[in-house]
Amino acid sequence: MSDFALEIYTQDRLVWKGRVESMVVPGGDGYLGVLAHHAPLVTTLGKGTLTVMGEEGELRIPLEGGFLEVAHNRATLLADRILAAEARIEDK
Amino acid sequence: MAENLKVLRRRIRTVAGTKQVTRAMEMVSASKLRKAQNRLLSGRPFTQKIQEMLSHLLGAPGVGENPLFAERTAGRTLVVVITADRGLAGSFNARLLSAADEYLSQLPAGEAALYLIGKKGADYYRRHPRCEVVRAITDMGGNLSPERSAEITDELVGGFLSGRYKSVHIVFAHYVSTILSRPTRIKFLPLDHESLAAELAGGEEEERRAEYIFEPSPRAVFDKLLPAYLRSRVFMILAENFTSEHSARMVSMSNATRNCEEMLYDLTLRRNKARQASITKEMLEIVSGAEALK
Repeated sequence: MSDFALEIYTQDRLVWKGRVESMVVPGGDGYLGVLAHHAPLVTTLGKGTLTVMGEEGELRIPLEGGFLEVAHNRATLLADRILAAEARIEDK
Repeated sequence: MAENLKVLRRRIRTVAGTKQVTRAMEMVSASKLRKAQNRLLSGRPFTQKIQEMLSHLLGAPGVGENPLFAERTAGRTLVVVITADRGLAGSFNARLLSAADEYLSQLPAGEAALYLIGKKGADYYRRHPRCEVVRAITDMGGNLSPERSAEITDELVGGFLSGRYKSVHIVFAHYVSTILSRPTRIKFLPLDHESLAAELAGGEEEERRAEYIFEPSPRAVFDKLLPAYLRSRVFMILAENFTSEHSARMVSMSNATRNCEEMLYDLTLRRNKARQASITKEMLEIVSGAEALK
């Protein structure tokens, strides 16, 4: 399965960075899924849980507000707030 | 006897003590400076990305109007002055305050209002009242969080949108390098298209331009991006100011340590001379006493 690069930032730090196969994002108007080679997109984020599926497993990060940009097979997520201090990484 | 040996010894002890203190403060500032620099660096990607997104949007149709661009003639000018909480940083605070004073003196009387961040600025304007201080934040203590800077931004933006202020300016120490920071004033609000476009330009190569889909709509994204951009800007300004503060303190403490060393060298020389003189004198007395007994 093809993958894409994802970087997750808050204002003060890099939260997570890696290659992922798919992600489900809490967009401003509801959840949306992103796969590799998604069309260029900028969306606002609402409150919810970001789910990222990659080779190592699944990553869930509850967050609130922010933006997501997808372009050229790279996704950059800017979160206003990460709600849980520890993001859980579960094995498949 | 030229100098009092006892007095010299006491002075040497005092200066050596002072040197220990300034040396310690220099080390503390150096480590705080490192921390502040890291914070400045790790804050950059977020800010850059916000600017990039904003620049994708500026060309999009139906985008560009926002109350944050409103030019008004009524209302006051809010001047945000960011200083350090503590002194012993050379001319750091004094330069910031004189830059602020200079700007305040240009504004018509009664038109300005002050928003102070940092104890030193608050103390200064309590002693030298220039105009109304609408808020003085003195409990930052060098701790900067995105939440805190967002609160401050929302207060500034709120004051502007309500029409209380027709513009918001920020005076802060622009961090150039470890040994150089420059008091700088920027116009924070209202935004204007030219300077915004100028600030955003250059970040993005032409080839990477693409037709973006904006969810829910370009307009909605724009209206959310602008406040995010401002919040991010305030965060970076505060981070820069902290970094400048610690670098100024480190430099001034390292100067102080060097001055102490010079003084110690000079005093030690004088002490040795005085000691030598007193030994010579004592010997002379003994010798002449022995001579007299013969």
